Amino acid sequence: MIEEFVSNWHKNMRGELEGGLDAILHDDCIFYSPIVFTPQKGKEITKLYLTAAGQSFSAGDSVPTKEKKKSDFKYVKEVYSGLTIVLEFESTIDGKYMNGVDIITFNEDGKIVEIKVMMRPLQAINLIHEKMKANLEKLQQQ
Amino acid sequence: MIGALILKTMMDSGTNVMNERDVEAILKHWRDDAVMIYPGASIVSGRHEGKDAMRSFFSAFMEQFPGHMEFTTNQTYIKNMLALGLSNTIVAEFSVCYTNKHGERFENSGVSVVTIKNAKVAQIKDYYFDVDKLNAAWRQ
Repeated sequence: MIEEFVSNWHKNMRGELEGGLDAILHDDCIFYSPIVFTPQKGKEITKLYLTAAGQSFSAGDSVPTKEKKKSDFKYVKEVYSGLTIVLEFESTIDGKYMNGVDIITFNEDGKIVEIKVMMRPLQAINLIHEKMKANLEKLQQQ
Repeated sequence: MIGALILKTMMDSGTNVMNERDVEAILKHWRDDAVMIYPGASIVSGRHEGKDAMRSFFSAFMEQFPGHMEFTTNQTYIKNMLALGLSNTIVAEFSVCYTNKHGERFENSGVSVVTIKNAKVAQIKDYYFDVDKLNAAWRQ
């Protein structure tokens, strides 16, 4: 069951899931981020944070257009139990290596009810913090 | 599945010996060339390779947290539940409550991604949810 749910997550990451995050996030989804320690509750705010995170990993607007490049974000391990999966990821941002884990819990309908993210090293967290803050401000203005 | 269950038992036992502060019992489960990657910006953050480095890491840990220390494994994930052998990847979601050498008490949570080869730990990569709190706990 969870394999299909995770497959939808990957499709969404590739931009191939019909309906995108709206199709897989539960209305009462909770997002735990290393950037904002207060849990973010609800589909809309979770979407906002995930969109800002996605933009932060794909170079974003702080990089001049000519130098923009596709994100090298990739999952390197997937381990699950029941309806929860742990996905370990790696990426580089502005030349800095980072890795972390997404812990995603689904309900029986395949909707995501909780996402928790942890990252290392500290420099990468600080960098993502800056980028996400800028991206969130832009998204909130739209 | 038996192999996976044996490894899960081994992980649980690892948490117990950590709480009992028994460094040699912890190291018994590690390969000689094991690697540990610890997060944050503390004196022990970074990569530790080999059993001697690991012994130094855990000794520093016990010195930093001489008082109450309690690791609890909240959830264990096993990559290949059907594995017959004793090599696998296990992820443990944990919470910790400990008091550092300055008498400051901290609560945190995290994830250990553990690679096991032939029933011995080959690599552990730790992630903590609140890295600021982790650094504060390691204040010298």
